[in-house]
Amino acid sequence: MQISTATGQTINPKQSLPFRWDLSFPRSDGAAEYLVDLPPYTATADKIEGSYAVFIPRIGNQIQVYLNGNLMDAPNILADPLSNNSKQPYWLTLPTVLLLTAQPNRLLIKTTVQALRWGGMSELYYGPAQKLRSRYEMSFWWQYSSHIVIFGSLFLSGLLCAAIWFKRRDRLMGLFALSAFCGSFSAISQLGITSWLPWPMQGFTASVAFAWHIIFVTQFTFNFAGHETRWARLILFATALAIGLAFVLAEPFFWTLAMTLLAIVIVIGFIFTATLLKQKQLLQVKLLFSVSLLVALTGLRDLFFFQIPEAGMSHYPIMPHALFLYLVVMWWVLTQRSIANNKFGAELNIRLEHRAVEREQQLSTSFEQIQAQVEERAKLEERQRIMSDIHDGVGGQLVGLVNMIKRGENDRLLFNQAQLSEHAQMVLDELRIAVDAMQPVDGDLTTVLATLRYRLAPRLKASDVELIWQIDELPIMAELSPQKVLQIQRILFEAFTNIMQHAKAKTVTVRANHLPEMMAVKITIEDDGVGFAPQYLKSKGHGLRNMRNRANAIGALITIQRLNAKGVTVTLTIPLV
Amino acid sequence: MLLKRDNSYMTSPYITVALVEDEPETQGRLLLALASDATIEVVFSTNAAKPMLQWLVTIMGDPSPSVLLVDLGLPDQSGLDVIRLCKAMHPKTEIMVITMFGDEHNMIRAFEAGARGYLLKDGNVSELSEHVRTLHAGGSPMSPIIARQLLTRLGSSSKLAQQAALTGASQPPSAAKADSAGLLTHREEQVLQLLSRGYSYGELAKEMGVTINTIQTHIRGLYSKLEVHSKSQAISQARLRGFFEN
Repeated sequence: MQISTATGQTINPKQSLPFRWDLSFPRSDGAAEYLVDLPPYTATADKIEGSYAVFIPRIGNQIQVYLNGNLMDAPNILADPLSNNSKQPYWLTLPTVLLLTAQPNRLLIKTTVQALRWGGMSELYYGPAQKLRSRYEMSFWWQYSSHIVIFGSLFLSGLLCAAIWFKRRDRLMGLFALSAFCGSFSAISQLGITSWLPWPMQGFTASVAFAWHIIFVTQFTFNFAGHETRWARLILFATALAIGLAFVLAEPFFWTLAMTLLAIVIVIGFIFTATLLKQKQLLQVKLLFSVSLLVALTGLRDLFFFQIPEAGMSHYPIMPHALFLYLVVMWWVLTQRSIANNKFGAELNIRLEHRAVEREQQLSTSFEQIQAQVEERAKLEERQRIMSDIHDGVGGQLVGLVNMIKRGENDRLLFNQAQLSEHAQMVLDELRIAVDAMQPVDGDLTTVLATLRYRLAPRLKASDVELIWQIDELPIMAELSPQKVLQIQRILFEAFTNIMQHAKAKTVTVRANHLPEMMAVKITIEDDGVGFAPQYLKSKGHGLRNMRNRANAIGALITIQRLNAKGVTVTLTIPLV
Repeated sequence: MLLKRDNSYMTSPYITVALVEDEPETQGRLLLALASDATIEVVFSTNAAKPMLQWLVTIMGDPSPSVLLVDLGLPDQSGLDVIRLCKAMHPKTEIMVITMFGDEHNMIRAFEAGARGYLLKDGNVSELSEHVRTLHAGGSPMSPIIARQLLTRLGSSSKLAQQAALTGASQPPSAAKADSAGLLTHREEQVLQLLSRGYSYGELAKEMGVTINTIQTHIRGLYSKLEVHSKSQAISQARLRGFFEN
């Protein structure tokens, strides 16, 4: 085998495969030619094993293959950095007709190489295609097909999580999306011969994506356990810087530095999951620990067998696959958390609903209690009102009657039958009025007056006083409460009693008019008697005051006038509102 | 038969009275008051509905009592049942409810059942016999509150609409009008209006330019209308129910 470089440098012609360019010519691009003499082809072998093939697990960066001087394959344009062959295994089926049977077959592979691009060549396999094919396919799966799967799954799950993050700003979702996108970018950089970026740029972006993929995964694990990850930004920046410097300066040291940083991150991540596992023996933690261990192991393996220039050319990286498993576990963890959240939410909803129902019951109970209290108070007030009415009215009259009878007994100042009977009749009338006042009148003051007259009719008839009744149809009064009715009836009753007992009148005129301009009703009781009899003023002095008080209580105006010793006019003006 | 009974009724020198009242004190007082009047003869007195119902059946064919006095709150059965039976069997008998102040609601129900007057439990002796005599002579008393309620039930005054609006009655005024319009004549409505304003029968007669007898005829007509109205309402409701059931 012979290797020559574009710069004219020669290396040890006995250099055996695998050959790693960066070890021999660090920091520089160049070209290399590999000349391999394959054993002569035998016809018997053909019969038994079919056509022969060459399988090279890794070769790069741009290649052209010649067999016995004939150009067999040119997958790349030489020295074109947009094209790269080193990321996938190489397979070439050799045409039987071109194979020599008598002498060795000369295989010439021309390559051009860019620094730090895994230029060089791994060991070469030559033999019957049938025998080699399975090994090639295995290598192709690991280096190519699996990366398509990884790219597809990571990209789609990354999109989904990014959408969720966009809606909810959930940090774990965001980290998952970031690591998934970095992973998918890293995976797609692995694919194809032609890249869309010029070489150092393409190498830089792919490497940074891969490094960040690892860092985000670690960050996810920390955040999942509820730990801060302020250091993550520093590491992200540091690795990106180291990788950048490695490519710009084509300096393998920086590359090794970046890889070391990543190795530290991976180890820290692993230790962290190990401590987590010690604290909580949850299935989620167990899984995270397992994949973390796997990532650490594959990472270390890749570091020693692939990433560092000293690792040679024979191996391909398998850490991306471990990382993919890690993301699957992360995905599962997120799903579990989401399910738990939903469950928690549902439970919370149920609890809140219970609370709301309870609260509602409490409110309605307290509302009922308040209403009951209000009703109770109203009843109490009504009871007190009735009690005081009976006490003031009927009670007072009865006390008077009892006193009349007793005085008659003691002082031998006998009241005659008629006087006692008249007083008793007054008690009865008082009682009737109190009962009448409790009737629902629907705001009809006319009926109230009419009822009063109806009740008083027998007494008026007996007293020989002529009644002139001139009642208009009065408007409905919105606020005609039983209390108001009673006060009005009492005032009028008092006025009538006065007339019948003391005024010696011949006629009484009762008028009721609606005064629309004053928004009031005017009731007038006019008699043609002697006016205020002295004994009335003496014995019943409080009667007039009572009338005034009652009028005040219902917001009505009362005037009591004596007209030239020709009777008294009582005017009651009741506002309608 | 009918002619004979009418004759016997017309020719009877006394106002015959039947009485059902469960309160012994009231019963005693009523009997005393009625006995004090020479023109009144109490033909039957009991303290429960059943004996009175039996008696009313027993005397079928005999002269009907001129006046029946009924207390509504009887221990064994409602006084309303007594009123209805008497009305059916003895249509000529004037029925009076024994009641107290403030019980206008029950009075109206009694009028609907066929009663034509009322007697106050706490009225004095002269008032009681006076009432019975007036009723027998064809005059039924009517208090302003009852007049107002009759207006509400049968009439169509604008004040009713006002009242309905004020009390928030479920029936709109127009519907109430349509329901009861035409039940009262203009005269009857005038009578009820004046009565509800407290005017006496005499004042009414003067105001309307008619005799007191005419007023009393109107009053009797009004009581009958209340009875008929309540019956027709019951029938139409029953029909309506039957219609829906069918």
